[in-house]
Amino acid sequence: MNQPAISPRQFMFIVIFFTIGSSILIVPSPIASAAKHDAWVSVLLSILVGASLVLFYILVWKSLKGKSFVQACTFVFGAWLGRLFSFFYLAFLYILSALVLRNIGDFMTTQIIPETPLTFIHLFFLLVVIVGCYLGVESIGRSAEIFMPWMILLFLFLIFSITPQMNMDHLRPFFDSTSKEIIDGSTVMIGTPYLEMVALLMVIPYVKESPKTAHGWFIGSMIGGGFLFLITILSLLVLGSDLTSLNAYPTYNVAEKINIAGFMEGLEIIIAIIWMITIFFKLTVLYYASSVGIAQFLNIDNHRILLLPLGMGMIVLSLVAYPDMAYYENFVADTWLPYAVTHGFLLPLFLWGGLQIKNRAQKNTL
Amino acid sequence: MENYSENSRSPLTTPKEQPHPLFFSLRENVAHIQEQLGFSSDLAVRWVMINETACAFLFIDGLVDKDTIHDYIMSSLMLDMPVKASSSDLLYDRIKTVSLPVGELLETDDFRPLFSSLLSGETILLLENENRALMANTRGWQDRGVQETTSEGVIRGPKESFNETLRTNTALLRRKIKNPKLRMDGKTIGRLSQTDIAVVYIEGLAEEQVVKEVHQRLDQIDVDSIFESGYIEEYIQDAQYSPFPTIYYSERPDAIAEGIAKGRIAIVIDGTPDVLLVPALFIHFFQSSEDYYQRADIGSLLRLLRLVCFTIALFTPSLYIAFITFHQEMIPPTLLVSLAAQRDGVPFPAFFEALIMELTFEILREAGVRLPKPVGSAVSIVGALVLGQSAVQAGLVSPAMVIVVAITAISSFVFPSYNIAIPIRMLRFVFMTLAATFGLYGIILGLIAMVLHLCSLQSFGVPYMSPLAPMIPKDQKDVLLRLPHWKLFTKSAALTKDYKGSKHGGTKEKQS
Repeated sequence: MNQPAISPRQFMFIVIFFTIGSSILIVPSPIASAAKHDAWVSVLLSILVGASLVLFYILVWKSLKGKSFVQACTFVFGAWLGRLFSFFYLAFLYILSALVLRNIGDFMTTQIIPETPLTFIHLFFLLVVIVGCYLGVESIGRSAEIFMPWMILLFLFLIFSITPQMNMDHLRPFFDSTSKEIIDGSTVMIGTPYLEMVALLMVIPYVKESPKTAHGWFIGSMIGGGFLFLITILSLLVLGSDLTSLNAYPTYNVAEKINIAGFMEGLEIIIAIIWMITIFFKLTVLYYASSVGIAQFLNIDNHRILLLPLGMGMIVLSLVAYPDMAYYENFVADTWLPYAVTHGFLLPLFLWGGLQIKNRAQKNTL
Repeated sequence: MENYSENSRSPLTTPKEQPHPLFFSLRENVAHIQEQLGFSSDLAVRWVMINETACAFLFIDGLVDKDTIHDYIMSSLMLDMPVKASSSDLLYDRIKTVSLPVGELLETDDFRPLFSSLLSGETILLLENENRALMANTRGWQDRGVQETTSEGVIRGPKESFNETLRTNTALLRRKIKNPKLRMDGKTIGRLSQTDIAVVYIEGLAEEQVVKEVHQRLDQIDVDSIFESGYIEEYIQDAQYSPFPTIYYSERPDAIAEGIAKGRIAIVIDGTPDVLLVPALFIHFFQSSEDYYQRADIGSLLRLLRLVCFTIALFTPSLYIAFITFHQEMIPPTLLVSLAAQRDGVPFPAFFEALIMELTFEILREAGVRLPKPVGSAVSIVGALVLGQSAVQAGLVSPAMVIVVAITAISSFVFPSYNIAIPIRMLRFVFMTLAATFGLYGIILGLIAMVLHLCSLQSFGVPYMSPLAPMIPKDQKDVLLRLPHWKLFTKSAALTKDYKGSKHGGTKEKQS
C-alpha cells in the first residue's frame, strides 16, 4: 500500500546521472585510442546503438507488468532455474557496483587526495551510498532533482570557460579512420553505460505508473549520451586524440587547462564534483538494485538489513577487483563487452522470450 | 503530591479530574473552593447580600480586571437591583438574564469548569441555596501590550509583534484576516499548567488531512506543563533526530497571517509570543515576510542572497581547511603565496586553527545573549580586539582565518528565522572535520549525505524540500524568486489541494 514511488521526471534525472556516472571517467580515453580523432563519430554510433538497446529494455519492462527482473525470473522459469538466472544477473550488478566504486577510488587516489588509502575512500563513499539506499528510492529521486541543476550549471561553466583552448584542427581530417576503428571505439560506450542499464529493470517498478516513464528512460539516456558526446569532443578539441588516449582521465586534464583572466585556475575541481555526484547516483542505483534484488532472491521482506553486510563484501571486492590501471584498461577493452553483452542483453532477451510465452499461455487459459 | 514527584510522565490527578457537583449550601461551596485552593492568598471572596439572599463573589486577584467587577458586576447587582425577587431561584434567573451587564456569562453546576474558569481570571458568583454558579468573564491581567518585535526586525512592514496573551495574539490574526472561514480551534494541554492553545487556519484552504493530523498530534501530547511553543514543537515535529527544523515559528503577526492565507496552519500557545506554523518547508526559512513588501526584484535577489549565505555559513571554514590542507594546487598562485606568508609561524594545523576560532565565536555569541546589557560592550571589546587582533599579532591564528570566521558568523545571521541557523552552527563543525580528514572529497560526500537527509524529511506529510524536490513547476514563482504579486495568484500546490485557482489574498468580497 505504502509503496515508495518516484515520479517519471525523477526517474529521468536518475537515468541521466546513471548514463554519465563513471562513463565520464573511463569512456573518452579508450574511444580515442581506438578511433583516434574520429572518436566523436564512435560516440554518436554508440548513442544510436544505445537508443535501440534502451528501446529493447523498455519492451522488456512493458512485459514485466510491474514485476522486477528477479521476480519475473522466478515467475517465468520457476524457483530453481529462475534463481539461477537471477543469480547471474545479481552477480553482474554486484560486480559492476564494486567496479564503479573502484573507479572513483582510483580517480581520487591518483588525482585529488593521493595520500589517503584507497580502503578509506571506498569506505566513506559506500557509507553515504548506504545512507541513500537506507533512506529509500524517494530520497534518491528527490536528491537527483536537487543536484541536476547544479550539474548542468557546472557543466555549462566548464564548456564556456574552456572555449578559448579549443582547436578545430584536432578533429581534422574528418572521417579518415576505418569503419572497424570507429566500431571498435563505439563498443566501449555500448558496454558502459548502455548495457549496464539492465540494472534499471530492478528500480523501474518503483516509478509511479505513467505513460511518461518509458519516455523518461529514453530521453534520459539520450541526454546522458549527449553529455558524453560533449565531453568526448571537448577532450578531442582541447587535447587532441593522442593526449586524450594517453591520459587516464582526459576530461580532468581538460579542466586543468581552464584559465580565466589569469587568476581563476585549477578549476578541475569542478569536473571532480560532477564526477562524484554522477557516480554517486550510479552507484546508489546499482547498490539499491542489487540489495533489493538479493532481498527478493532470498525472500527477505526488508532489503535494508542487507545493506551493511553487502557493503562489507563490496569494499573487499572493489579492492581485489584488479591489481592496477593497466590490467583494468585491458579489462575494459577486452573482457567487459562480452560480459556485459551476455548479462545485459542475452539475459533480458531470454527473460523477454520466456515472458512472451508465459503471458500468452496465461491469456489462453483465461 | 507524591504523584508527580516520582515520574514527571506519570498521570497526575488533581481535584479537577473527577466530576464534582456543587453543593446547595453557599458556605459549603465557598469552603470547598477555599480548601481546594489551599486558602491561597490571592483568592478574593466577597460576601454580599442581594435582595436579602447571601451571595459570594470569588475571583483571583491579579488575573481580573477590577474595573469590570466594580462597575458592571458589583454596582449593578448591589446598587441597581430594582425589584425584589420572591425566591432565590427567581433571583438567580433574574441576575443571569437581566441584571448582569457583562459580555460573556456562563453557568455550571460542577466544580471542574468552575475551577478552570476561576483560575483563568473569571469571576464566580455563588448564591445561597443554589447549586449553580455564574461565571462572568472579567479576564484582564498585566501584559506588556503589543510592542515592536525585538528578534525579527524589518525595514518596511508592520512592526508589531505577538505578546504573551493568547487572546491578544488571536485577535492580531483576526485583524489581518477578516474572513468568516478563519477557524480557531481551542485546546487545553498540560495536566498541571492547563495551557490554552488555538489552532488557527482557514477552512477550505488548509488541507483537511493536515488539519486533522495537527489535531491528532496535539491530542496525543500528555505532559504536565507547557510554558513555550518549544514544548509543543518537540512533541509534534516529524523528524525527532534531525538538526533541521520542520516547524516554523515567528513572533510577527504578518508572517503568520501570510502563512495562514497560503493554507498553512498556525498554533498559538498561551504564554509565549512565538507562534508555530506548519507545514514548514526548507525554503520557508529563507523567506521573510518583508520579501512581499519590498518590490519584487529586490525581494527575489534578497532570497537568493540568503541561500548564498547559507552556503557561506555552512562551508567557508571547511573549504578553507580543505584547500589549505589538501588542495594547495587549486589556489591561485598569488593568493597561495600571501596565504602561506600569513600562516608562516602559526603553530596549529588549519583544522585546529579553525576549530579554536569557531569555538571562540560560539562562546562569544552565547555570552552575548546572556550578558546583562551594561556589560555587553565590554565583551564586544574583548571579543573584537583582544581575541581577534591580538590572537593574530601573537601569531596564534592567521588573519585569513579571522576573516573566514567573521564572514561565516555574519552570514549565519542573515536568515529571517533564527532556527535555520542552528543546523548550520552544528553541521559546520561536522563539515570541518570531514574537510580535515578527506578534503574536498569529504565535503562533497557530506553535502550529498545532507541533501539525502533533507530529501527524506517531511513536515506534516509534505516533503521538506518541495517544491524543489519533488519539483512542482507551478509553485516555482514564489520559491527562490518572488515574482510580482499579480503573477502570484495561484495557491501553492504543495500546501493546498482543494483551493486551486483561488485569488491570492483570499475571498475578496468578504473584506468589505
